[in-house]
Amino acid sequence: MSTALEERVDAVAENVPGIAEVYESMRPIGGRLAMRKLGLGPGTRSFVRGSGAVAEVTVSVGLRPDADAAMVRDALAGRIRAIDGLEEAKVHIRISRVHHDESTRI
Amino acid sequence: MAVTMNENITDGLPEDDIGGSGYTLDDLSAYLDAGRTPYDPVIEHNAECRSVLASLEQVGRWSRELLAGEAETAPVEAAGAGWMDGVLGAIAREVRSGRDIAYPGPDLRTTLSITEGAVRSLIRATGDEVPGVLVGRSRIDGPLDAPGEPVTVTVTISVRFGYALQDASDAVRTSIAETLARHTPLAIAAIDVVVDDIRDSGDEELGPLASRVADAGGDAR
Repeated sequence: MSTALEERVDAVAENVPGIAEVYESMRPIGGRLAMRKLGLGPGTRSFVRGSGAVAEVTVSVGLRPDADAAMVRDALAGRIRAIDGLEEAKVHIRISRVHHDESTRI
Repeated sequence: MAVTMNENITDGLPEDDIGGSGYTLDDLSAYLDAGRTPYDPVIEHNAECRSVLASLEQVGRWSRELLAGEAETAPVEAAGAGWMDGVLGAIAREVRSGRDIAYPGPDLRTTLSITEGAVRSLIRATGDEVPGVLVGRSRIDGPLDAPGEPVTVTVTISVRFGYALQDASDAVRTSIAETLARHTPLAIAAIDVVVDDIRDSGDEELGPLASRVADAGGDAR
C-alpha cells in the first residue's frame, strides 16, 4: 500500500539528475499482483519497509544514457536520507533500465 | 485502444507475462499499436514492459525501412515472419529482470545494482544502432554475483545484405564493449558476435550463416 514516505521517495528520485524515470520496485512480483487484485496498485513506485533505524528503501530507476551510476547513487541516497523518518534507512537502488535514445513518458 | 489484463492473472502470472505486469507481448504490441493510449500506468511504470516497448519500436522502425526498400516487391512479413517471431520472443525473454549485478561501493548502507534484464536491453539497443544490424539474441555467461569476475557476452545478429559481415560484427562488438564499460560494473572477458542471418531488401531468406561464418574463420571474437 502506498505510504507518504514512498510518495516522498518517488518525488525526490524523479528529480535526481541522471534519473530518467522511477519504476515499480516491489519484489517479489507476487506482491504487485496482490496489490492490483485488491485495487491498490500501482500507486507509488518506491518501496519502504520498516521505520527508523531499521527502515529499508528500495528504488528502481531508469538512467539517462549520460548518467554516472555512482553519482546517481550518492545523490539519491543523500536525498532519501534527508526525508524525515528515513535518516538512518538502508537504501537499495536498482537500475532497471538505461534509457538509450528513447524519450521518457512521465 | 484499451488493453485487457490477462485473465489468467487470478491464478498467478501468465506464462508469458512481462515483468509481473499481467500483460503479454501481444498485449504490449497492441498497446504500442494504439499509440500507447489510453495511458496505462501499470505498463508505463514497469521497467520490463518499457524495455519491451522500446525494443518493439526499434523492430518496427527496422521493418518499415525494409518495407520502404521493397515497396514493389514481396511484403516483409510474408518472408520474415518466423525470424521476426524469434526476435520478438527473444525480446520478451531478455527483458526479465533476472539477477542483480552489484556495483562496488564504499557505503554499506547503500547498495546499487543493475538488473540483468537492463544489461541485456542495453546490449540490444546498442547493437541495433549499428547500421544494417538487428540483434536477435544475447546471453551473458559468468558469475554475475561475483564482482570483478570475468563474464562473456554472446550476441546473435542479423545483417542486412550489402553490409560487410566482419565490419558489422566489429562495430557491434566495439559499441557493446563501450556501452557495458560505461554503464555496468561487469568485467567483460569477451564479446562473441555470431551472424546467423542475412536479409536483403526483398527479405530473401539466405539461410543461417553460422556454419559459413565458422568455416571462413569469421566468427568474430
